[in-house]
Amino acid sequence: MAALVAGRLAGLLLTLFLVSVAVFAAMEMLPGDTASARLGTQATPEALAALRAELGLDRSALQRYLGWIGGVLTGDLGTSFTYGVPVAKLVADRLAVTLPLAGLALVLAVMVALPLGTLAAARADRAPDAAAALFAQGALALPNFWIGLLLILVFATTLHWMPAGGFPGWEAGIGAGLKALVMPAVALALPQAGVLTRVTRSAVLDMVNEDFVRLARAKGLTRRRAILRHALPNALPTILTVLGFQFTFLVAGAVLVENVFNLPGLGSLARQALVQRDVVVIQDVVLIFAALTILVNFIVDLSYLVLDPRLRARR
Amino acid sequence: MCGAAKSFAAHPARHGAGFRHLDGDTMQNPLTRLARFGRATAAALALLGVGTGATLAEPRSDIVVGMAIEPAGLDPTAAAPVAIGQVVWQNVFEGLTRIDGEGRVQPQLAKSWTISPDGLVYTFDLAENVTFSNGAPFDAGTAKFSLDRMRAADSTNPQKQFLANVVSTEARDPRTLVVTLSKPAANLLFWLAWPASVMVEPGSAATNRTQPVGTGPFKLGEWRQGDRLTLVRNETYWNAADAPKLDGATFRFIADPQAQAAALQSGGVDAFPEFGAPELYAGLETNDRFETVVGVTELKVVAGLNNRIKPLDDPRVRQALMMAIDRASLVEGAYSGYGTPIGSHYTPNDPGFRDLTAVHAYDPDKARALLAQAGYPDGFALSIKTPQMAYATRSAEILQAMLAEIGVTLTIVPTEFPAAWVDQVLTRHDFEMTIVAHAEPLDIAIYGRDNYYFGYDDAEFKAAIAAAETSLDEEKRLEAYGTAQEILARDVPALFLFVMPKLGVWDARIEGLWHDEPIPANDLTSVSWRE
Repeated sequence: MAALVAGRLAGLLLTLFLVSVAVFAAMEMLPGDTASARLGTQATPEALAALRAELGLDRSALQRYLGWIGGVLTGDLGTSFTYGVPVAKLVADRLAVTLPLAGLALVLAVMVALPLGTLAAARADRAPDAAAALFAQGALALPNFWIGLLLILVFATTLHWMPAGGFPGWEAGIGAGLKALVMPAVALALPQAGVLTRVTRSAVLDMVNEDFVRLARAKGLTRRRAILRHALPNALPTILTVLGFQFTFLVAGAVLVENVFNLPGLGSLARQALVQRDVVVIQDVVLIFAALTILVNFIVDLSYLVLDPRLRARR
Repeated sequence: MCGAAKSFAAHPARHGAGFRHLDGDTMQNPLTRLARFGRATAAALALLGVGTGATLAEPRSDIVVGMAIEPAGLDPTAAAPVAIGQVVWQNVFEGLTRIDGEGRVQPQLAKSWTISPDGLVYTFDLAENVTFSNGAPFDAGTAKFSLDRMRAADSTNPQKQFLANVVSTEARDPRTLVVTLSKPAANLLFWLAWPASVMVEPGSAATNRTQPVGTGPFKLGEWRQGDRLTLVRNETYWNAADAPKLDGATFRFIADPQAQAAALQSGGVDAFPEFGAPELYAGLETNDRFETVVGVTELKVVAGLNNRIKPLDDPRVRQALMMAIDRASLVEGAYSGYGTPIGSHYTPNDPGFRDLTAVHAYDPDKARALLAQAGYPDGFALSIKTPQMAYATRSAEILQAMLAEIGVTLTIVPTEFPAAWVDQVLTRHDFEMTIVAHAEPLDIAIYGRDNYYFGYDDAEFKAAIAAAETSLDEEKRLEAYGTAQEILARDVPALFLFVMPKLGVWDARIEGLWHDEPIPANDLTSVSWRE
């Protein structure tokens, strides 16, 4: 266990270092900088030069990289060029929206997909299976932002049950915060639920044909109990692996849905920072995405150990 | 109203019949328990879906204003994006002068002024008992500080050039500011009214980007970056005659046009003074809950041509391109018919406007003949660097179709605005044609700027602009601006397309929002709700 954690930690640091170099280099290659973004059509060469000097953009690339990464290592994520506030505050504000949103979407997706996928496997090639397949394909075919628009049209602008978008902040109460996240979470969850239903079905189905499930059946277990007690638990590692990918996708890839619901999430921060060439923000956000992805995969790996006694015994 | 006869020389009444609406300022009766109960009951009934008919509700004392673009920082003296001024100008910050909703220059922190006969010395009489929202007093010393900061060598003020003619500023006494120029500046009072010229004080100037401190009727409540910004009433506001009717305001930043419409429909936003999507606007116009006002702006959409390169260095070629464009159809296709065609870099609100759309009116036959004369009987190929904004991409597609009619093959090259566009087009002049809306009011002088992106260099034009900017005689000034417009219409350094409309939409009970946008602003001072 300790060796696993140590190995992972070393891998994490190496990955983060490589990501930091890659994202810095990518930012260097983009045309324009925050000075040109800020001055727009009024950018005269003198104004650009003055602003670059003020922002420290006239230093060499190496100096700027070391300045940034040195700050990150000492816990200082730097200051946003656009907003003039610490990046740590910006990111914390956004994570307070994005993480609950991704979590909620994932819970919704699991609540739909796990029962549906298992049922489809249990009744393979029969009516429930066909219905599950129909649901999964339909959910996959619909883009999440389009589902979002539809939800707004029905529940916000027509029925006035839900807010059309925006986020009141958690200080307005857990209820108000959750209410603002429900529709975007549904929009995000549906396509993910489609994927997860298919994965669950095939993972469980693979197990159903394994000898140990047949043995359980031969021993006298009902088909239902055999699947729930033996096939499903053994299918969980596969499902969890996909869930890990989905969570990182939901954190980083919710930008279209955030846009439709006007949510101040991490995705929209990254997008805006890119438009404004707010390079410190982009670099920090990408590093955080990378760290989060590695962390989630690590948790998934750990969960294998919990789920599978054989792995623990081997160590 | 004040000062010397030339006080308002900078901007005579724009589009004369400026529609002023009545102020609903009779709603000051205190909030009684009964009314509060009535409002709560009404809200409860509304929640239950019960129609209450005539409600007992008090008029609201706050407003939620939607904007498509969030400001980058809140200091208009440090960055150019118009969104900054649209939040803080007049609400948080004020200037020596201001521009009103009809585009006229009005006194503000300078109550009045006199101008020496040679036009070189401006003596401003400043308002008394003015304090900033942090308690610091405003006097001639503060005004001098603000102007000196703007014109300093290391200033990053986007409109630094406004004060290029200033040789000295002097606080003669606490109420008197004297500004001396090297040559007359006919637009000085107009320029001093801009967001970039607002008054700031030494103790807070450096932190205005995040904590703006001004003399305005509101001060910053909270800015939740990426989402919203609240303003609260400045209880120590100096100008009792112009005190705000609202207790506070919230700006919400909603980029997606669908989300903008949804926020309006669901009541999450009360007003979108500049609605983003013309194609969704017609749906709002028919809704009785909203008042919709199509106003005029200063946003000139022009397709800039690189006058440095072949074949665009030939005026005949540029004229031919202009004659290939049917501006009315373009406005129809790119902006659902809202918008005003222009023939020069000038809007109908600007002083001394001349309608020059007929100079190179749509005439594809003549355009082809002119191209042939210039040596391009079979046309040529051209690329247009096109920003991602909807108006730009749609216009570019229509230009592509229209230019194909005269044999010019237009290739659309998507170019991210602002960063990549500024780098490639504005700074490195690496483009053939481009399209962008110029937001600054009365900015025709950019065509006389050395090395600006058009690469247009015309002595006659520069002379006309110099005459307009230094003329002490109003008639001559307007005449000079007329000449400048005509030179541009004749030479076509850029294809002059249309002025963007201000598609205003707000709750029908709101009064006092600007209908037009003579300068990008959301002045909330006289906004109120009626019963």
